[in-house]
Amino acid sequence: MKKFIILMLVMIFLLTFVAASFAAERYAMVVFLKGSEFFNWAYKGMIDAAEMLDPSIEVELQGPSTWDAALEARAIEQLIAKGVNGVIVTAGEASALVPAINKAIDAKIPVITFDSDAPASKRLSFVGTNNYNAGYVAGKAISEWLGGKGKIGISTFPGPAHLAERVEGFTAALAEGDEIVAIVNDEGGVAVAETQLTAMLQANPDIDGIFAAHGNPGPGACAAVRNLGRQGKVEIMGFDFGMPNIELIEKGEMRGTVGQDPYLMGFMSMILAYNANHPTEITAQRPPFGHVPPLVDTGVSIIYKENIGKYMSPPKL
Amino acid sequence: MINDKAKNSSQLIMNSSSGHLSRLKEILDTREIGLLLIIFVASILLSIFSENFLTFSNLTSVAIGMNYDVLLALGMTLVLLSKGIDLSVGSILGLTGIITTMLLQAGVSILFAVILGLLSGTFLGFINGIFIAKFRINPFIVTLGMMAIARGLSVILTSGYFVSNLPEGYLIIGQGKFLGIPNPTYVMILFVILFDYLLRKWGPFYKAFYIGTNPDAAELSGINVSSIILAGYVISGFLSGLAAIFMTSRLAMGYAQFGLGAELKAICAAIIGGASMGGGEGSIVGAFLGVMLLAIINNGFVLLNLSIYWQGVINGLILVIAVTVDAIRRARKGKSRV
Repeated sequence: MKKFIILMLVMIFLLTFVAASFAAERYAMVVFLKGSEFFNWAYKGMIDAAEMLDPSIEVELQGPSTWDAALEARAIEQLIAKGVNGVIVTAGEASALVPAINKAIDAKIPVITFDSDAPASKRLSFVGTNNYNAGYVAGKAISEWLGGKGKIGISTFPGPAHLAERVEGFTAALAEGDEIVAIVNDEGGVAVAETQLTAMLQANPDIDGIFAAHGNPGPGACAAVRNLGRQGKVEIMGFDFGMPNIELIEKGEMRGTVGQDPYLMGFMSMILAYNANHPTEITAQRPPFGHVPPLVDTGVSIIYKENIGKYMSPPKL
Repeated sequence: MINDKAKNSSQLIMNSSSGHLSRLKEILDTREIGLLLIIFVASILLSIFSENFLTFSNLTSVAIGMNYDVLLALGMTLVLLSKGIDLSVGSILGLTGIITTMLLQAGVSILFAVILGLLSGTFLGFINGIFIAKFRINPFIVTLGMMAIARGLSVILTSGYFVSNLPEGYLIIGQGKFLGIPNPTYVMILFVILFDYLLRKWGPFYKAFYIGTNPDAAELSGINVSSIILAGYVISGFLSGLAAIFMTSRLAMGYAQFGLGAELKAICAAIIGGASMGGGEGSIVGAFLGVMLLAIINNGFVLLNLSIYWQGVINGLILVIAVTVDAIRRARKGKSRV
């Protein structure tokens, strides 16, 4: 009897071993703030893309639930040790992940960054929002709302390059008759945005459109309009689809918001990582990896009250 | 230097008891009057260049922006007085806001959530105070640690989500108005008056001046140094909690990044208002005026459509100029006495 059990155990062990060596490819996504709405969307995209490519592919989600790039780096190191076939990562901090990413690439494991890049690393590709284009889409939309003769105020803060790029794209998209009347410094916060935008609307009673260049000033802009009782006279364009923005759009206080596409980021990253592992006969740019473009813009869309539905119930994973 | 400080602080305390004439002279020669003059001049200039400055709604919007900063600057002044510093005010604001709004979301009654929120702010301040006053650990280190811990906890609790869908009744606290002026503004003014009075008239409070000037001498003269230091951090924590209640109810959400960088603004305002990093100096009304000056300058930037890139530079210049002018004024006063 004892011998039988041992024999069974050995067989099970061997079977798993054999199964493992034939097992499908494993891909991992590494994020910071694990569990946040944005990255849940991205992971859902990755799952769907893997299903489409080859149903036997296994995927996993790793990383800290805090904003800690060092823990992300450790997660990548562990995945290398585990022998995954590809890593899709959003860099919580641009430089902290460079050694871990390079180590993976050196071990012939493709790494794709999404949403936040680590440009100094050897990552194969970055999949994310082109900020100039995102600003451009917002500018086109607001110009249309205001009939090509809007008086527009912008809320942003000096420093981050991606905000400057958004404002630049926004400005380029405006029509001849549109005018940017004021740009205020919200210091990155909602509370400051409220004060600054209230003052801005005071000083420029003709402003009929506000562009929030990042996630926070949108609710501040709505509060400012409420303070002055100018509801219906000022059209507000927010950025990102965090819950406050979605609620404000539902209430009609905000006309629309610029929605990035985290689902597509996860989806495209998965496809690129898979491509990298399956080279064709034509030599690619980064041998031994397969064909992967260095940059993919996942684009944005303006979210209105009409198409708000799916954002009200983000995927819970 | 220490001697000069001691003189200054003891004079400040004696103000109330000395003669009317000398008292008037003292008052006129203070940082507060200087600040008031600057604010007055800045306001005149602004109202000349922009017809929108002296409007009721613009001034209320300035007041709304000041609310949070004033509460934090009051706490900061008390802490700076006793030779301390509190870098955690912004993070405590963030965490308290998260705790309060999450309690509300979980269905806790508004009154209870607010009380628990205020208590948690106070408790975080108490922890700061215990480490600083009882274990004598450097306040910079302790509050730097608390700054990271409280911010980290806010992020963990929310995992980056906003806490929204708060009950309407809660929003009245920050959004409600009385006679056209937002509720938090009344509370802010009340606290300025209260703390200004306490700091000038109430023994346990103004003893903080002695502690900042010379902790050893204060200890020897029988002052309970550690309790007073502890009290400073507890009050600072409480006020951060109060600011969090106002901010979350006014903006109808809790967010882990609320109060980011607020500690630097509070320190800046307290120092413009007369506090010193070396302790033993500071004024509640001064801190209030410091916040007001910064708020009016920032308001001017918007009203006059000036480039946002200069705002930080100007704020920094004001800080340096205010401290320099005060140093010169005091040096002159010191000489004339000899």
